[in-house]
Amino acid sequence: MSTLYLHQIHDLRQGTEAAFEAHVRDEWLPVVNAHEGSRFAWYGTATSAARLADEAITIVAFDDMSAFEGFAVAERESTATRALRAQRSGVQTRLLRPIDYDPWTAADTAIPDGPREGATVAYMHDFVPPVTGQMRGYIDMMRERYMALSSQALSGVVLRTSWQTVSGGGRMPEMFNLSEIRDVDALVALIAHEIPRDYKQMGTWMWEALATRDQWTTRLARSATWSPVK
Amino acid sequence: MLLIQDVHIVIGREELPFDDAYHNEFAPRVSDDRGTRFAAFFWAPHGGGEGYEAVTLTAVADVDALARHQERLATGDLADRWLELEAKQRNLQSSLHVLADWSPLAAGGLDAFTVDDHPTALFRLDAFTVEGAVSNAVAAVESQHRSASPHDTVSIIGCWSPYLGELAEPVVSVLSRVASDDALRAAFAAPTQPWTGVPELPGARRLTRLLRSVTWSPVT
Repeated sequence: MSTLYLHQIHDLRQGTEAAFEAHVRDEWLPVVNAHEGSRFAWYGTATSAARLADEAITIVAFDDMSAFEGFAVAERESTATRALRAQRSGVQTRLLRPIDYDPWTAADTAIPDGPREGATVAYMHDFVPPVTGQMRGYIDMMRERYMALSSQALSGVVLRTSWQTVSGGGRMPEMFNLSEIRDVDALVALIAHEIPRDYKQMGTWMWEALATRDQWTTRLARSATWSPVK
Repeated sequence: MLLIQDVHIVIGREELPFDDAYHNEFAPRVSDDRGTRFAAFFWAPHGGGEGYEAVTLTAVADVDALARHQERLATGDLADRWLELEAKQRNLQSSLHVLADWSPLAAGGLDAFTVDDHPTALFRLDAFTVEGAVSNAVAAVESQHRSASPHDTVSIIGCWSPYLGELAEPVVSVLSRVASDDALRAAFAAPTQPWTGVPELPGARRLTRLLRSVTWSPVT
């Protein structure tokens, strides 16, 4: 079995963002990493331009289902979990697994065993439900068309993870794409200026892709400076 | 002045036909009524909101003009075109607001809203769900607008609140224009920093959309 990821979006009361982040870094991360096969991987926060403020995003990786079970059984009603719960006003939870072309897996991304200081990285964080019945077509399109596009063609936005919800893990079917913003100039061009109509005509890749998906929810997020994976 | 805010989730392959139908068929006819003007058409670019999300604003002088507009959409001269637009969408959320009279958007009155060609511009629409009085929140936004710096990343150009006030969800909406591509580039290059000029309402929950006006949008 491939790696399983616990993805959570924590709703926070305004003004508690810093305290929550410190709690996760200093209290929760060590609890996660104390479990065999469990690693706290990523902490993200909303940017000033993000759709939703007052939320934080965490990703925990499990080597296999046994590691997931060990973590869940031990922590589902633990003191540490209740302390985390007390710091937030709500939470959305997903269980995800990598898709076969997932860049994170292909790069054999190593997850450090604790916080690592470094520069923050900006991301587009997308949940994408496919057109009903088109998840397989959407995956094929991503693997065969999207992954073949250059960074320049993708406006300086580079896919870092491509995962999907598993049974028992949230809205299905749904794809989770986390894309690193590497080129600010290209991003400004993408956001501030219209895409030429020629790019959207019948026969273009944008047109073909719309057969598989045309809805998504984007968050403009950034990794914390201490996030194990930036 | 009242404002109808419509948030459209458009079918992906209907993006261009939807834009064209609004531009060529619907928007120009809205102003055939003396008390109604089509005010703005925005798309949320990727990164700015939901996929294929459009926001439109329609300004109406008063509730009498609103009643006429509703009748035109239901059974009048706009009804067929409105039905055609509906068929190109997955969802439409329409809400009625009062535009704060100090808003720059209100300065020129209804006749300032005309469908002309001009460059696109980038905006952000912040919707704050407030805990206290809506009027206090609107006053706080006005105060921030009046003390704004010309060097800010964004400048406030409009503020509106529900026509039903606190009988409805107490959401105060603030539309701000991004100063320039350079200002946007500088803001994205420093993702840990807040954008300057963005309204702040302590205690409120914020929902933000980045919006790009189309070339024919009256608000630009």
